[in-house]
Amino acid sequence: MNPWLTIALQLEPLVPVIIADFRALVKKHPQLADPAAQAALIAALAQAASDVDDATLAAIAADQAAHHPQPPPVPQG
Amino acid sequence: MRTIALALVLAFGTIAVTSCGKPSANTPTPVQNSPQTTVALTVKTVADAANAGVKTVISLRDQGKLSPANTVTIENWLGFVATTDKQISAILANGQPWAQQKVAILAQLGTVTAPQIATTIDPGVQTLVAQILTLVNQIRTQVTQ
Repeated sequence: MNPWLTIALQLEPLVPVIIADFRALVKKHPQLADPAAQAALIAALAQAASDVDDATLAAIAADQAAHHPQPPPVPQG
Repeated sequence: MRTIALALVLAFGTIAVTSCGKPSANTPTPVQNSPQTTVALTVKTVADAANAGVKTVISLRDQGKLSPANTVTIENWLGFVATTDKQISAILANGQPWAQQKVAILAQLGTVTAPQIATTIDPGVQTLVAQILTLVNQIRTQVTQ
């Protein structure tokens, strides 16, 4: 018998074990399916959006202040 | 010894190829984003679009392509979009059930309308407004699905 075939036949029973272990590993780490991970992702996205919105509002305020300066307050008395 | 090592390499190579190439009934299905994650991604896109929009409007005004009055009108509208977007972000992060978040988000979206600008305004501004309104409508669709 071809020596390669002999070795392959000896290894064959191990193949399903290796594949099954790999699947078990994937099942152990379903990060995105985890509700806690989803919640963390949503919170991070919401915070990032909020930060950009703050920057937008600040840029608008700065531009309008520069181009339409408020009149100085009238001194009292 | 060398022959066995080569055989092992060959065998594991075969395993890798066959296990990657043929999805079986036990192959894990791709994980889908939750509706909140999908909406949060679009909310972030709206934030980025509004932020870029302010820079565009200022640049067009400085180039003399947009009147100061129209600049203020668009800036105020972008500011309103950013404020609404921020409120939607807060809703998404408040931890309430999605059913309640949906109602609150739709109420926020209902306040966003197109700005009052002339149709003769710079095409770049028209495109900018249209893109942001499309994104806002996209959020509405994602929430109601």
